[in-house]
Amino acid sequence: MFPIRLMLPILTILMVFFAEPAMGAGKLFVEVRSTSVRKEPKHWAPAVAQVSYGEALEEISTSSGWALIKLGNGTQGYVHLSALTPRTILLSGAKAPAVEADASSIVLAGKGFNKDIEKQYFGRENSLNYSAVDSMEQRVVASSELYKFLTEGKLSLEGVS
Amino acid sequence: MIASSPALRMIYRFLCCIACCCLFTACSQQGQGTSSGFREFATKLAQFVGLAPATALYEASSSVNSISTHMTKEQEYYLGRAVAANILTRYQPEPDPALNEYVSRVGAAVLSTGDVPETFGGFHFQVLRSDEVNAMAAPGGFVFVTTGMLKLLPDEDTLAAVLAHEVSHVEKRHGVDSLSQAKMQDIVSSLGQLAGSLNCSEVVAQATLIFSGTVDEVVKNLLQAGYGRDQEFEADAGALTYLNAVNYNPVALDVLLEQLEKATPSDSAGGWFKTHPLAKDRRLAIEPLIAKLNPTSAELGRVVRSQRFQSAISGKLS
Repeated sequence: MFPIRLMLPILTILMVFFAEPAMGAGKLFVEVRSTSVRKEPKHWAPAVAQVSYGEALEEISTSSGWALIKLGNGTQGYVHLSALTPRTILLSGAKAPAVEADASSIVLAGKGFNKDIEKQYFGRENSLNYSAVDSMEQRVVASSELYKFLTEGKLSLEGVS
Repeated sequence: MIASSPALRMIYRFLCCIACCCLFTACSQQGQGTSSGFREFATKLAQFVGLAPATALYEASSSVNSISTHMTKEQEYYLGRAVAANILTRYQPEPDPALNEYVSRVGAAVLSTGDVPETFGGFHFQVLRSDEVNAMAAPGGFVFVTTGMLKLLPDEDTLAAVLAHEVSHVEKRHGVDSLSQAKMQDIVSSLGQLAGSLNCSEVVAQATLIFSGTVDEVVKNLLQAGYGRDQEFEADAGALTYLNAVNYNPVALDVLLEQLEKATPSDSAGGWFKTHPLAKDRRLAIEPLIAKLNPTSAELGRVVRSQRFQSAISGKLS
Protein backbone atom coordinates (compact mmCIF):
# COMPACT_ATOMS: atom_id res chain seq x y z
CA MET A 1 0.00 0.00 0.00
CA PHE A 2 1.23 3.49 -0.82
CA PRO A 3 2.45 5.11 2.45
CA ILE A 4 0.20 7.96 3.62
CA ARG A 5 3.26 9.96 4.75
CA LEU A 6 4.32 10.25 1.12
CA MET A 7 0.85 10.93 -0.18
CA LEU A 8 0.39 14.16 1.76
CA PRO A 9 3.45 15.99 0.39
CA ILE A 10 2.73 14.70 -3.11
CA LEU A 11 -0.83 15.97 -2.89
CA THR A 12 0.40 19.32 -1.58
CA ILE A 13 2.86 19.72 -4.44
CA LEU A 14 0.17 18.74 -6.95
CA MET A 15 -2.13 21.39 -5.46
CA VAL A 16 0.55 24.04 -6.01
CA PHE A 17 0.64 23.34 -9.71
CA PHE A 18 -2.99 22.60 -10.35
CA ALA A 19 -4.65 25.00 -7.92
CA GLU A 20 -7.36 27.14 -9.52
CA PRO A 21 -8.76 30.30 -7.98
CA ALA A 22 -10.87 29.24 -5.04
CA MET A 23 -12.60 32.58 -4.80
CA GLY A 24 -14.47 34.46 -7.43
CA ALA A 25 -16.29 31.53 -9.05
CA GLY A 26 -19.83 32.82 -9.65
CA LYS A 27 -19.02 35.97 -7.72
CA LEU A 28 -18.47 39.47 -9.02
CA PHE A 29 -17.12 42.29 -6.86
CA VAL A 30 -18.19 45.93 -7.04
CA GLU A 31 -15.20 47.89 -8.37
CA VAL A 32 -16.67 51.40 -8.02
CA ARG A 33 -17.59 53.41 -4.93
CA SER A 34 -21.29 52.84 -5.42
CA THR A 35 -23.53 51.74 -8.26
CA SER A 36 -27.16 50.96 -8.87
CA VAL A 37 -28.74 47.56 -9.28
CA ARG A 38 -31.32 48.29 -11.97
CA LYS A 39 -34.64 46.79 -12.90
CA GLU A 40 -33.61 46.56 -16.55
CA PRO A 41 -30.19 46.50 -18.23
CA LYS A 42 -30.35 50.23 -19.05
CA HIS A 43 -28.66 53.21 -17.43
CA TRP A 44 -31.96 55.07 -17.21
CA ALA A 45 -33.86 52.15 -15.65
CA PRO A 46 -35.06 52.55 -12.05
CA ALA A 47 -32.70 51.32 -9.33
CA VAL A 48 -33.87 48.48 -7.07
CA ALA A 49 -30.82 48.66 -4.79
CA GLN A 50 -27.43 50.29 -4.34
CA VAL A 51 -24.24 48.30 -3.94
CA SER A 52 -20.89 49.53 -2.65
CA TYR A 53 -17.19 49.07 -3.27
CA GLY A 54 -15.95 45.58 -2.49
CA GLU A 55 -19.42 43.99 -2.17
CA ALA A 56 -19.59 40.46 -3.54
CA LEU A 57 -22.56 39.77 -5.80
CA GLU A 58 -23.83 36.46 -7.05
CA GLU A 59 -23.67 36.38 -10.83
CA ILE A 60 -26.66 34.77 -12.53
CA SER A 61 -25.85 35.63 -16.13
CA THR A 62 -24.23 38.29 -18.29
CA SER A 63 -25.36 39.74 -21.56
CA SER A 64 -24.61 42.83 -23.68
CA GLY A 65 -22.44 44.53 -21.08
CA TRP A 66 -24.75 43.90 -18.12
CA ALA A 67 -24.71 41.28 -15.37
CA LEU A 68 -27.88 39.91 -13.85
CA ILE A 69 -26.97 39.52 -10.20
CA LYS A 70 -28.55 38.40 -6.96
CA LEU A 71 -28.05 40.11 -3.62
CA GLY A 72 -27.89 38.37 -0.26
CA ASN A 73 -31.50 39.34 0.48
CA GLY A 74 -32.66 37.67 -2.75
CA THR A 75 -33.10 40.91 -4.74
CA GLN A 76 -32.19 40.48 -8.39
CA GLY A 77 -31.25 43.16 -10.86
CA TYR A 78 -28.79 44.37 -13.45
CA VAL A 79 -25.41 45.99 -12.86
CA HIS A 80 -23.23 47.33 -15.67
CA LEU A 81 -20.29 44.95 -16.11
CA SER A 82 -17.78 47.81 -16.10
CA ALA A 83 -18.62 48.41 -12.42
CA LEU A 84 -17.78 44.81 -11.55
CA THR A 85 -14.68 42.68 -11.46
CA PRO A 86 -14.13 38.97 -10.98
CA ARG A 87 -11.08 39.94 -8.89
CA THR A 88 -11.50 39.64 -5.14
CA ILE A 89 -11.54 43.09 -3.58
CA LEU A 90 -10.05 43.15 -0.12
CA LEU A 91 -11.26 46.18 1.78
CA SER A 92 -8.88 47.89 4.23
CA GLY A 93 -8.44 45.81 7.34
CA ALA A 94 -9.68 42.62 5.69
CA LYS A 95 -7.37 39.65 6.00
CA ALA A 96 -5.89 38.25 2.80
CA PRO A 97 -7.10 34.75 2.05
CA ALA A 98 -4.55 32.12 3.11
CA VAL A 99 -4.76 30.41 -0.27
CA GLU A 100 -4.97 32.49 -3.40
CA ALA A 101 -4.06 31.01 -6.71
CA ASP A 102 -3.46 34.19 -8.66
CA ALA A 103 -2.27 37.56 -7.33
CA SER A 104 -3.90 39.32 -10.26
CA SER A 105 -7.18 38.08 -8.80
CA ILE A 106 -6.81 40.35 -5.76
CA VAL A 107 -7.41 44.09 -5.50
CA LEU A 108 -6.23 45.72 -2.29
CA ALA A 109 -8.81 48.43 -1.74
CA GLY A 110 -7.74 51.67 -0.13
CA LYS A 111 -4.08 51.08 -0.97
CA GLY A 112 -1.86 53.29 -3.10
CA PHE A 113 -3.22 56.68 -4.09
CA ASN A 114 -6.03 57.04 -1.58
CA LYS A 115 -7.74 59.42 0.81
CA ASP A 116 -4.68 59.52 3.10
CA ILE A 117 -2.39 60.50 0.23
CA GLU A 118 -4.95 63.11 -0.84
CA LYS A 119 -4.95 64.52 2.70
CA GLN A 120 -1.15 64.73 2.71
CA TYR A 121 -1.19 66.33 -0.75
CA PHE A 122 -3.80 68.89 0.27
CA GLY A 123 -1.67 69.64 3.33
CA ARG A 124 1.14 70.65 0.97
CA GLU A 125 -1.09 72.39 -1.59
CA ASN A 126 -3.76 73.90 0.66
CA SER A 127 -4.78 76.60 -1.81
CA LEU A 128 -6.34 73.96 -4.08
CA ASN A 129 -10.08 74.21 -4.56
CA TYR A 130 -11.06 70.74 -3.39
CA SER A 131 -14.43 72.05 -2.18
CA ALA A 132 -15.38 72.80 -5.81
CA VAL A 133 -14.50 69.20 -6.67
CA ASP A 134 -16.79 68.01 -3.85
CA SER A 135 -19.60 70.24 -5.19
CA MET A 136 -19.05 68.90 -8.69
CA GLU A 137 -19.36 65.35 -7.37
CA GLN A 138 -22.64 66.17 -5.66
CA ARG A 139 -24.22 66.85 -9.05
CA VAL A 140 -25.84 63.62 -10.19
CA VAL A 141 -28.46 63.12 -12.91
CA ALA A 142 -31.20 60.86 -11.56
CA SER A 143 -32.33 57.99 -13.80
CA SER A 144 -35.88 59.41 -14.05
CA GLU A 145 -34.46 62.80 -15.06
CA LEU A 146 -32.23 61.15 -17.67
CA TYR A 147 -35.16 59.16 -19.07
CA LYS A 148 -37.17 62.38 -19.48
CA PHE A 149 -34.22 64.19 -21.08
CA LEU A 150 -33.62 61.38 -23.57
CA THR A 151 -37.25 60.99 -24.57
CA GLU A 152 -37.89 64.73 -24.91
CA GLY A 153 -34.85 65.10 -27.15
CA LYS A 154 -35.84 62.03 -29.21
CA LEU A 155 -32.60 60.39 -28.20
CA SER A 156 -32.17 56.64 -28.16
CA LEU A 157 -33.16 54.60 -25.12
CA GLU A 158 -31.81 51.41 -26.60
CA GLY A 159 -28.54 52.42 -28.22
CA VAL A 160 -28.09 52.59 -31.97
CA SER A 161 -25.40 50.36 -33.46
CA MET B 1 -5.84 22.36 7.45
CA ILE B 2 -2.23 23.35 6.95
CA ALA B 3 -1.75 24.25 10.58
CA SER B 4 -3.27 21.04 11.86
CA SER B 5 -0.39 18.73 10.98
CA PRO B 6 3.29 19.17 11.91
CA ALA B 7 4.32 17.51 8.64
CA LEU B 8 2.18 19.87 6.56
CA ARG B 9 3.39 22.83 8.59
CA MET B 10 6.94 21.88 7.71
CA ILE B 11 6.05 21.53 4.02
CA TYR B 12 4.24 24.87 4.15
CA ARG B 13 7.30 26.58 5.66
CA PHE B 14 9.51 24.96 3.06
CA LEU B 15 7.24 26.20 0.27
CA CYS B 16 7.24 29.71 1.81
CA CYS B 17 11.03 29.72 1.77
CA ILE B 18 11.15 28.51 -1.84
CA ALA B 19 8.52 31.13 -2.82
CA CYS B 20 10.46 33.94 -1.16
CA CYS B 21 13.71 32.83 -2.84
CA CYS B 22 12.00 32.62 -6.24
CA LEU B 23 10.35 36.04 -5.83
CA PHE B 24 13.62 37.58 -4.71
CA THR B 25 15.43 36.06 -7.69
CA ALA B 26 12.71 37.16 -10.11
CA CYS B 27 12.77 40.71 -8.69
CA SER B 28 16.53 41.01 -8.62
CA GLN B 29 16.89 39.72 -12.17
CA GLN B 30 14.06 41.82 -13.51
CA GLY B 31 14.94 43.17 -16.90
CA GLN B 32 17.89 40.79 -17.17
CA GLY B 33 16.16 38.13 -19.14
CA THR B 34 14.38 36.24 -16.38
CA SER B 35 12.05 33.85 -18.15
CA SER B 36 8.36 34.57 -17.93
CA GLY B 37 7.81 30.91 -16.98
CA PHE B 38 10.02 31.32 -13.93
CA ARG B 39 8.32 34.57 -12.94
CA GLU B 40 4.96 32.88 -13.31
CA PHE B 41 6.09 29.92 -11.20
CA ALA B 42 7.46 32.24 -8.48
CA THR B 43 4.25 34.27 -8.42
CA LYS B 44 2.00 31.22 -8.38
CA LEU B 45 3.93 29.58 -5.61
CA ALA B 46 3.95 32.75 -3.50
CA GLN B 47 0.24 33.18 -3.98
CA PHE B 48 -0.43 29.59 -3.03
CA VAL B 49 1.34 29.98 0.29
CA GLY B 50 -0.53 33.21 1.01
CA LEU B 51 2.10 35.80 0.14
CA ALA B 52 -0.33 37.88 -1.89
CA PRO B 53 1.01 41.30 -0.73
CA ALA B 54 4.50 40.22 -1.74
CA THR B 55 3.34 39.18 -5.17
CA ALA B 56 1.43 42.46 -5.50
CA LEU B 57 4.69 44.24 -4.79
CA TYR B 58 6.52 42.13 -7.34
CA GLU B 59 3.81 42.42 -9.96
CA ALA B 60 3.63 46.18 -9.46
CA SER B 61 7.34 46.46 -10.16
CA SER B 62 7.39 44.10 -13.12
CA SER B 63 6.12 46.39 -15.87
CA VAL B 64 5.75 50.07 -16.48
CA ASN B 65 4.52 49.98 -20.02
CA SER B 66 0.85 50.23 -19.15
CA ILE B 67 0.31 52.19 -15.97
CA SER B 68 -3.45 51.96 -16.32
CA THR B 69 -3.27 48.22 -15.73
CA HIS B 70 -1.53 48.82 -12.40
CA MET B 71 -3.67 51.71 -11.25
CA THR B 72 -7.04 50.65 -9.88
CA LYS B 73 -10.17 52.67 -10.59
CA GLU B 74 -10.02 53.89 -6.99
CA GLN B 75 -6.44 55.15 -7.35
CA GLU B 76 -7.25 56.82 -10.67
CA TYR B 77 -10.20 58.53 -8.96
CA TYR B 78 -7.98 60.13 -6.31
CA LEU B 79 -5.52 61.23 -8.99
CA GLY B 80 -8.45 62.70 -10.97
CA ARG B 81 -9.77 64.55 -7.91
CA ALA B 82 -6.39 66.23 -7.44
CA VAL B 83 -6.18 67.15 -11.14
CA ALA B 84 -9.75 68.51 -10.97
CA ALA B 85 -8.84 70.54 -7.85
CA ASN B 86 -5.97 72.11 -9.82
CA ILE B 87 -8.25 72.93 -12.76
CA LEU B 88 -10.88 74.41 -10.45
CA THR B 89 -8.20 76.56 -8.81
CA ARG B 90 -6.91 77.92 -12.13
CA TYR B 91 -10.38 78.44 -13.62
CA GLN B 92 -13.44 79.83 -11.91
CA PRO B 93 -16.23 77.25 -11.61
CA GLU B 94 -19.51 78.48 -13.13
CA PRO B 95 -21.86 79.06 -10.17
CA ASP B 96 -25.14 78.84 -12.12
CA PRO B 97 -26.72 75.51 -11.08
CA ALA B 98 -29.14 75.37 -14.02
CA LEU B 99 -26.35 75.66 -16.61
CA ASN B 100 -24.24 73.03 -14.86
CA GLU B 101 -27.26 70.73 -14.58
CA TYR B 102 -28.07 71.09 -18.26
CA VAL B 103 -24.47 70.27 -19.28
CA SER B 104 -24.56 67.31 -16.85
CA ARG B 105 -27.74 65.99 -18.51
CA VAL B 106 -26.15 66.16 -21.95
CA GLY B 107 -23.13 64.35 -20.50
CA ALA B 108 -25.37 61.71 -18.90
CA ALA B 109 -27.13 61.24 -22.26
CA VAL B 110 -23.75 60.59 -23.94
CA LEU B 111 -22.98 58.03 -21.23
CA SER B 112 -26.40 56.40 -21.34
CA THR B 113 -25.67 53.95 -24.15
CA GLY B 114 -23.69 51.69 -21.84
CA ASP B 115 -20.57 51.70 -24.01
CA VAL B 116 -18.65 53.83 -21.52
CA PRO B 117 -17.21 51.96 -18.53
CA GLU B 118 -18.25 53.19 -15.10
CA THR B 119 -15.54 55.02 -13.19
CA PHE B 120 -14.97 54.72 -9.43
CA GLY B 121 -16.79 57.94 -8.52
CA GLY B 122 -18.85 58.31 -11.69
CA PHE B 123 -18.67 60.99 -14.37
CA HIS B 124 -19.28 64.60 -13.35
CA PHE B 125 -19.53 67.71 -15.53
CA GLN B 126 -18.66 71.30 -14.68
CA VAL B 127 -18.78 74.54 -16.63
CA LEU B 128 -15.78 76.85 -16.16
CA ARG B 129 -16.28 80.61 -16.38
CA SER B 130 -13.59 81.55 -18.88
CA ASP B 131 -13.48 83.16 -22.32
CA GLU B 132 -10.83 80.64 -23.32
CA VAL B 133 -12.25 78.10 -25.78
CA ASN B 134 -11.51 74.88 -23.96
CA ALA B 135 -12.73 71.54 -22.67
CA MET B 136 -10.79 68.95 -20.72
CA ALA B 137 -11.23 65.84 -18.62
CA ALA B 138 -9.33 64.64 -15.58
CA PRO B 139 -8.79 60.91 -14.99
CA GLY B 140 -11.66 59.21 -13.25
CA GLY B 141 -14.40 61.17 -15.03
CA PHE B 142 -14.17 64.89 -14.15
CA VAL B 143 -15.19 66.70 -17.34
CA PHE B 144 -14.95 70.48 -17.87
CA VAL B 145 -16.12 72.84 -20.57
CA THR B 146 -15.57 76.60 -20.60
CA THR B 147 -18.18 79.27 -21.25
CA GLY B 148 -15.89 80.37 -24.12
CA MET B 149 -16.44 76.98 -25.75
CA LEU B 150 -20.20 77.08 -25.08
CA LYS B 151 -20.40 80.46 -26.85
CA LEU B 152 -18.91 78.89 -29.95
CA LEU B 153 -21.42 76.02 -30.11
CA PRO B 154 -24.56 76.24 -32.24
CA ASP B 155 -26.63 73.52 -30.56
CA GLU B 156 -26.92 70.60 -28.13
CA ASP B 157 -25.50 68.05 -30.57
CA THR B 158 -22.21 69.95 -30.82
CA LEU B 159 -22.07 70.24 -27.02
CA ALA B 160 -22.60 66.47 -26.90
CA ALA B 161 -19.69 66.14 -29.37
CA VAL B 162 -17.40 68.14 -27.06
CA LEU B 163 -18.39 66.08 -24.02
CA ALA B 164 -18.20 62.79 -25.93
CA HIS B 165 -14.64 63.61 -27.00
CA GLU B 166 -13.66 64.28 -23.38
CA VAL B 167 -15.49 61.19 -22.08
CA SER B 168 -13.59 59.19 -24.68
CA HIS B 169 -10.25 60.45 -23.27
CA VAL B 170 -11.34 59.24 -19.81
CA GLU B 171 -12.60 55.91 -21.11
CA LYS B 172 -9.31 55.26 -22.91
CA ARG B 173 -7.41 56.39 -19.79
CA HIS B 174 -5.29 58.84 -21.81
CA GLY B 175 -4.66 60.95 -18.69
CA VAL B 176 -2.54 58.27 -17.05
CA ASP B 177 -1.27 56.60 -20.19
CA SER B 178 0.27 59.85 -21.44
CA LEU B 179 2.58 60.11 -18.43
CA SER B 180 6.30 59.98 -19.07
CA GLN B 181 8.13 56.68 -18.70
CA ALA B 182 10.07 58.02 -15.70
CA LYS B 183 6.88 59.04 -13.96
CA MET B 184 5.30 55.67 -14.69
CA GLN B 185 8.31 53.95 -13.10
CA ASP B 186 7.96 56.14 -9.99
CA ILE B 187 4.24 55.44 -9.70
CA VAL B 188 4.56 51.70 -10.16
CA SER B 189 7.31 51.55 -7.57
CA SER B 190 5.30 53.69 -5.15
CA LEU B 191 2.08 51.71 -5.64
CA GLY B 192 4.07 48.54 -5.11
CA GLN B 193 5.45 49.79 -1.79
CA LEU B 194 2.01 50.94 -0.64
CA ALA B 195 0.42 47.63 -1.75
CA GLY B 196 3.04 45.74 0.19
CA SER B 197 1.63 47.13 3.46
CA LEU B 198 4.76 49.20 3.99
CA ASN B 199 2.75 52.26 4.96
CA CYS B 200 5.35 53.85 7.22
CA SER B 201 5.46 57.65 7.26
CA GLU B 202 8.53 57.68 5.01
CA VAL B 203 6.77 55.59 2.35
CA VAL B 204 3.64 57.75 2.57
CA ALA B 205 5.72 60.96 2.32
CA GLN B 206 7.54 59.59 -0.71
CA ALA B 207 4.24 58.44 -2.27
CA THR B 208 2.76 61.92 -1.68
CA LEU B 209 5.70 63.47 -3.53
CA ILE B 210 5.19 61.06 -6.43
CA PHE B 211 1.45 61.71 -6.36
CA SER B 212 2.10 65.46 -6.48
CA GLY B 213 4.52 65.10 -9.40
CA THR B 214 2.03 62.90 -11.23
CA VAL B 215 -0.77 65.43 -10.74
CA ASP B 216 1.51 68.21 -12.06
CA GLU B 217 2.36 66.16 -15.14
CA VAL B 218 -1.28 65.30 -15.91
CA VAL B 219 -2.29 68.97 -15.44
CA LYS B 220 0.54 70.08 -17.72
CA ASN B 221 -0.54 67.58 -20.37
CA LEU B 222 -4.14 68.75 -20.11
CA LEU B 223 -3.57 72.49 -20.10
CA GLN B 224 -0.33 73.02 -21.98
CA ALA B 225 1.26 70.11 -23.80
CA GLY B 226 -1.89 68.27 -24.88
CA TYR B 227 -2.20 64.58 -25.65
CA GLY B 228 -0.57 62.91 -28.63
CA ARG B 229 -2.18 63.22 -32.05
CA ASP B 230 -3.06 59.52 -32.03
CA GLN B 231 -4.84 59.90 -28.70
CA GLU B 232 -6.81 62.88 -30.01
CA PHE B 233 -7.85 61.01 -33.15
CA GLU B 234 -8.74 58.01 -31.00
CA ALA B 235 -10.90 60.24 -28.77
CA ASP B 236 -12.64 61.64 -31.86
CA ALA B 237 -13.37 58.11 -33.12
CA GLY B 238 -14.75 57.15 -29.69
CA ALA B 239 -16.87 60.30 -29.60
CA LEU B 240 -18.47 59.43 -32.95
CA THR B 241 -19.44 56.01 -31.60
CA TYR B 242 -21.04 57.46 -28.46
CA LEU B 243 -22.89 60.16 -30.39
CA ASN B 244 -24.24 57.70 -32.92
CA ALA B 245 -25.27 55.19 -30.26
CA VAL B 246 -27.48 57.68 -28.43
CA ASN B 247 -28.77 59.21 -31.64
CA TYR B 248 -26.99 62.54 -31.44
CA ASN B 249 -25.90 63.46 -34.94
CA PRO B 250 -22.25 62.33 -35.33
CA VAL B 251 -21.84 65.04 -37.98
CA ALA B 252 -21.98 67.44 -35.00
CA LEU B 253 -18.32 66.61 -34.32
CA ASP B 254 -17.47 67.84 -37.80
CA VAL B 255 -19.60 70.95 -37.21
CA LEU B 256 -17.73 71.57 -33.96
CA LEU B 257 -14.35 71.25 -35.67
CA GLU B 258 -15.54 73.55 -38.45
CA GLN B 259 -16.51 76.13 -35.82
CA LEU B 260 -13.08 75.82 -34.24
CA GLU B 261 -11.45 76.20 -37.66
CA LYS B 262 -13.37 79.42 -38.19
CA ALA B 263 -12.60 80.80 -34.71
CA THR B 264 -11.04 84.24 -34.59
CA PRO B 265 -7.28 84.58 -33.98
CA SER B 266 -7.88 85.93 -30.46
CA ASP B 267 -9.96 82.87 -29.64
CA SER B 268 -7.31 80.52 -30.94
CA ALA B 269 -4.52 81.87 -28.74
CA GLY B 270 -4.61 79.03 -26.25
CA GLY B 271 -6.85 76.42 -24.65
CA TRP B 272 -8.25 73.80 -27.00
CA PHE B 273 -6.25 75.22 -29.96
CA LYS B 274 -2.96 74.89 -28.13
CA THR B 275 -3.55 71.36 -26.87
CA HIS B 276 -5.27 69.76 -29.88
CA PRO B 277 -4.17 68.94 -33.44
CA LEU B 278 -5.37 71.26 -36.19
CA ALA B 279 -9.13 71.09 -36.67
CA LYS B 280 -8.73 70.59 -40.44
CA ASP B 281 -6.59 67.47 -39.86
CA ARG B 282 -9.13 66.09 -37.43
CA ARG B 283 -11.96 66.74 -39.90
CA LEU B 284 -10.08 64.80 -42.54
CA ALA B 285 -9.56 61.92 -40.12
CA ILE B 286 -13.21 61.64 -39.07
CA GLU B 287 -14.67 62.05 -42.56
CA PRO B 288 -14.42 58.32 -43.50
CA LEU B 289 -15.67 57.32 -40.06
CA ILE B 290 -18.77 59.49 -40.36
CA ALA B 291 -19.41 58.07 -43.82
CA LYS B 292 -19.62 54.57 -42.30
CA LEU B 293 -22.29 55.64 -39.80
CA ASN B 294 -25.92 55.94 -40.66
CA PRO B 295 -27.37 58.85 -38.70
CA THR B 296 -30.75 58.65 -40.42
CA SER B 297 -32.85 59.35 -37.35
CA ALA B 298 -30.50 61.89 -35.77
CA GLU B 299 -32.45 64.79 -37.27
CA LEU B 300 -35.44 63.64 -35.27
CA GLY B 301 -35.71 65.84 -32.21
CA ARG B 302 -32.86 68.10 -33.28
CA VAL B 303 -35.11 71.17 -33.12
CA VAL B 304 -36.20 70.36 -29.56
CA ARG B 305 -32.58 69.78 -28.56
CA SER B 306 -31.47 73.06 -30.15
CA GLN B 307 -34.24 74.93 -28.37
CA ARG B 308 -33.37 73.56 -24.95
CA PHE B 309 -29.68 74.34 -25.61
CA GLN B 310 -30.52 77.97 -26.43
CA SER B 311 -32.79 78.17 -23.42
CA ALA B 312 -30.07 76.73 -21.12
CA ILE B 313 -27.32 79.13 -22.23
CA SER B 314 -29.49 82.20 -22.80
CA GLY B 315 -28.11 85.20 -20.91
CA LYS B 316 -25.55 83.10 -19.06
CA LEU B 317 -22.45 83.40 -21.20
CA SER B 318 -21.84 87.14 -21.17
